[in-house]
Amino acid sequence: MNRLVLKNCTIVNHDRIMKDKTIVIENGIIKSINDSKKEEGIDLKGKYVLPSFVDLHSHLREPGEEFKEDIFSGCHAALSGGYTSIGIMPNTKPPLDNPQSITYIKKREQEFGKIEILPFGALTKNLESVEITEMYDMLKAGARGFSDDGVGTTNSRVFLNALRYASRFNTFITTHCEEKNLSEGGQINESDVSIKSGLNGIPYIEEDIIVYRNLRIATYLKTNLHIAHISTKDTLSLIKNFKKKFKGITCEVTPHHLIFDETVHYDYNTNFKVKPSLKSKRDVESLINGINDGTIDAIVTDHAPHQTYEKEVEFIEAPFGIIGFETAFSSLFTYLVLKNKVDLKTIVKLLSYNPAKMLNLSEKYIETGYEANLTIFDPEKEIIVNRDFIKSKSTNTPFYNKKLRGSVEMTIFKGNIVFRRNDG
Amino acid sequence: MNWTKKHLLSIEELSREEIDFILKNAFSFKEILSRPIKKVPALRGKTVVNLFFEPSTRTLVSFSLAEKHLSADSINVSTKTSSVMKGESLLDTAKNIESMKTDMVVIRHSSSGAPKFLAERIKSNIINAGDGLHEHPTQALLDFMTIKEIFGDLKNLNILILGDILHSRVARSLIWGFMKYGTWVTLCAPPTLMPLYLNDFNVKVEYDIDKALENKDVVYILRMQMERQEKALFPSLREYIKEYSLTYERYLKIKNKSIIMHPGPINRGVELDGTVADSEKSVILDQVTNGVAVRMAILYLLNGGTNE
Repeated sequence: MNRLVLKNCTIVNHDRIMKDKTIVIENGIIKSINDSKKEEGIDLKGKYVLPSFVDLHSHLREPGEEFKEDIFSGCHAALSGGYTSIGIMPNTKPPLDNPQSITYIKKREQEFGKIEILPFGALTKNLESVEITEMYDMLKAGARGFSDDGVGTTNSRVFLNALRYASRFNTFITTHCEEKNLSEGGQINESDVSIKSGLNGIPYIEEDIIVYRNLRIATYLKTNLHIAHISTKDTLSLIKNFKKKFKGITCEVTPHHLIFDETVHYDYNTNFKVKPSLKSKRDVESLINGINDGTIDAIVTDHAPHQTYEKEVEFIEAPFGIIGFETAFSSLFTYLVLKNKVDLKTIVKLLSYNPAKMLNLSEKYIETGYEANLTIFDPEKEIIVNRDFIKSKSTNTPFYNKKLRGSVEMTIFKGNIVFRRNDG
Repeated sequence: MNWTKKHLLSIEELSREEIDFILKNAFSFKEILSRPIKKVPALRGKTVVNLFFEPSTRTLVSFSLAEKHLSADSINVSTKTSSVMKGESLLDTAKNIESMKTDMVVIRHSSSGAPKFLAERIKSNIINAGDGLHEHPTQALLDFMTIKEIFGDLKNLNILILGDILHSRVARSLIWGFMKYGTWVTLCAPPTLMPLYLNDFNVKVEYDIDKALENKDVVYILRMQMERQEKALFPSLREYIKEYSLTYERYLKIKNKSIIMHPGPINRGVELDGTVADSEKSVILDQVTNGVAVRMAILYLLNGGTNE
């Protein structure tokens, strides 16, 4: 029998915190949570035990760009950030737009064996917005949702058809919203920062214009739709209004859009170059409000690896994207929880409970009878996000060589310890 | 004052005192330029690389002459003849050049922030000779010198900057400098070529050129690039000239003791009439002369500002 006992735990669920508990896990299931001090087990005094995290948005670059990341390195990175289920986007080279490619990903998941990979298939073949993909067969092969991430489905008719076609499957559709004609050639948000830095600006309305189109199509068809990585106050209020009319609308935000505003670009650091672009202080504040008032359903990493030599170039030449698995929780803890902007339970809800529910995964909750998928977090320990710390092949994070408060010390997947930080 | 900056990356980062100090030195160097033998030993034994990733005649020649007048050894690297064509990155190019023991790098690049990027990664002094849409500090300095030469001071002058403000690094450098001096700045361009966000800048925006030209001491004209028409930023050259060119007719109406400036290269008949470019109010060629003196001052100060 596979047995694991965790002692002196501070259990943080999305709705309540329990202190000084002993968790007994048997065969992958939480057998009991009690006050016993007698059991032999791992002492977690001063540490938090959280339901493990679920990412609705990441890029593992395999197949095609394994020099940036591959499935194994990406999964190691995810586990060390406390994630046990990761949704991966189909914009690989070639894209995941057919059943065989999904089968390949599921095979790699089995080889790795320590994490749950949730492949999102493309909505349209080759992400070209012309023909819709074989969604039925892809779902059979193990796809857990669909998206034309990275570009968005530009043709409105094709997007409507794709949503309508997918509507019978009760699956998860997530959409990247970007008005390409407005964003083309742009580097950062258009504002006084773009004027002063001389970096070409992208008018922020490019996001809500497409969000509106997509929400209208979804509500017209009455099909569920998830809006990926929102970044502006206007997008947020648009979604808020649509949510009042139709319950099937959900949305997500990344840690970097909750922590940084556009003024970081005065330093031309390409590790901040990302899509959607970082916005104003006002937008950041409104997104934090959106977290607290429940408008935003999930926090996602949008883990997007790029090699150092690709990023260590002139700003215009650098690719868009930031890695996120390994810093997501510590950065949210440092910048939002410790600064009393967001409650710890709310973070747990948006990193774990909500996204699991949206993908119909096993419920992420720490309670007797539930699957033991856990993240152990030391809130006092300081981490330095350097090359040694990062498990990903790439280091393109705004936190590179910076300190964060709090460390993911251990990740447990179905009762097994799948990650343990061993830096003494 | 003592010069403390290692690089010249922007006008924004300079104080008014620092600009005055550069100009003071530039006026001394200008005197040297009027001598029959225009050479001083200030940079003897120093190596300067002019790294030009964008086409340039005026700025490159001006820097080269400034370097030679100061007795530096200098070489020019341009995109077309360099390994950049073979796919070498900017950082590798710069590191390789520096391995040959250079002391200063003058860089022109189409990407905003490229000089800062290098300054953070290599040991040489970096001089920004124009980066993307960001800044062109030596151009602005030579313009300040030219204006000072004529009016004595920059404070309380009325300046009009006319043309494609949005895509102009010269305009940005000028505005930063003028703001430090308390100069009154008016910007005039079609709305599509005017930045949408100007709240942080103490400038007046005027879309009507005839109103904009009223009572100006300096009319600073920017180069108009034809590619902008393809990007739907203005409808035709014909309409642009009608609305925003400094025609001879408009020239006749401007203030008596005013001057006309342009960073070059000029498009005769486009942003300004050919006769206007050659008129008595035009100081376009004086700007070019001052360019050499200003660049000598910059090279001299960044090198430590001491004669051997």
